[in-house]
Amino acid sequence: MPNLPLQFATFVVDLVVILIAVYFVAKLSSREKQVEQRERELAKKEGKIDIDYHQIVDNALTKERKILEDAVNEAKQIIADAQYVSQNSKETIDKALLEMAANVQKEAGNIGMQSIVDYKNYLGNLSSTSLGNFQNIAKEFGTNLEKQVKEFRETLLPNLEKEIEDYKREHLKKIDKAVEDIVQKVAQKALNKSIPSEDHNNLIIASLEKAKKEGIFD
Amino acid sequence: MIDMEDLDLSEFFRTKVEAIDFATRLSVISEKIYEADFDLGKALTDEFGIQKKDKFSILLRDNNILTASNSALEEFLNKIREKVSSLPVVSLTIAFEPKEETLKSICSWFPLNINKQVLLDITVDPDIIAGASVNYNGKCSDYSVKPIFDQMYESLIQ
Repeated sequence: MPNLPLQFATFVVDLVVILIAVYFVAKLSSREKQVEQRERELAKKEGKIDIDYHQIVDNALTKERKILEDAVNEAKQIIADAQYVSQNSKETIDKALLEMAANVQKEAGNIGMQSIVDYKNYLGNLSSTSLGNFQNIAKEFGTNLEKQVKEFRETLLPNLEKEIEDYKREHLKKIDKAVEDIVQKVAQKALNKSIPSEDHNNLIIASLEKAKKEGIFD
Repeated sequence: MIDMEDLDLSEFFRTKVEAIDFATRLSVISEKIYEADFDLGKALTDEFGIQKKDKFSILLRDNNILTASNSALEEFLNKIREKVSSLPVVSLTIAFEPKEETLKSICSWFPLNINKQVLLDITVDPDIIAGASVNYNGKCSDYSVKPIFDQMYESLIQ
């Protein structure tokens, strides 16, 4: 038999491998059963929790509805009371205001009448006083004016007449001077123009002759 | 040797302004003398005109200047310019704008009477009426008609 130990060894190894594989398959199968068992338990628990949840929600909704109904009733009562109070207050305030307006009107009428009387009296007093003062002032003014006119005639008028006379004389003097200047200028120009060119030339040469005689060119 | 004292330039200028212009034009000609195409006749005509060019040609001939000699010509022009700048100036105030004839007669009076050529510096003032006021070498005197007129006028209005 060729190589018998080797074949035996191979067989043993294969056997061991198969045994190991069988072990793991069995193990896996067991685990799967455990998982399924757990899932079933969980589903059962979930169903219970769901039932509890719905019950709680229903209870809460019922309580909420009750609270809302109570709140609405309460609010209606408060509004009804407030309307009643408001109506009463309005009537009271309107009545008070009417009374107040009547009083104010009456008071204003009284004050106005009194003011008119006072103002008339004041004006009467004032006009009589002012007229008196005015008469005094006018009289004083007339006296002063008369005095000033007298003074003016006696002292200022002669002085003023003298000043006017001096002013007139001064200006006539200036006018005379201006006229003289103008006449002189006109005469100069007329003379200048009236001299013939030849005479002008001769007069220049005569000037040079005089200058020579006086030693200007020495 | 040229005697510059006797050189009469009254044909070319009479007043101070004309003399300055004349000297300036001579300088322009002097600058051209050594140019290759220098032509004296043309240069004189360009600067002074045909009449004065002829007079200047006569001046050159009278003074025996060889126009062919550039150096002699340059020397003569320089001497003329020196004379122009040394001429005395007489300031005259006259009563009217002088014509050429008047300037000529005034100008010719000086060489004849004081043996000098002068340059006239003329001012016109119609207020002096006639005659002239003379100012020469710092000396001044009024020979116009105005002082006589003023005197007569004063006695008249009084």
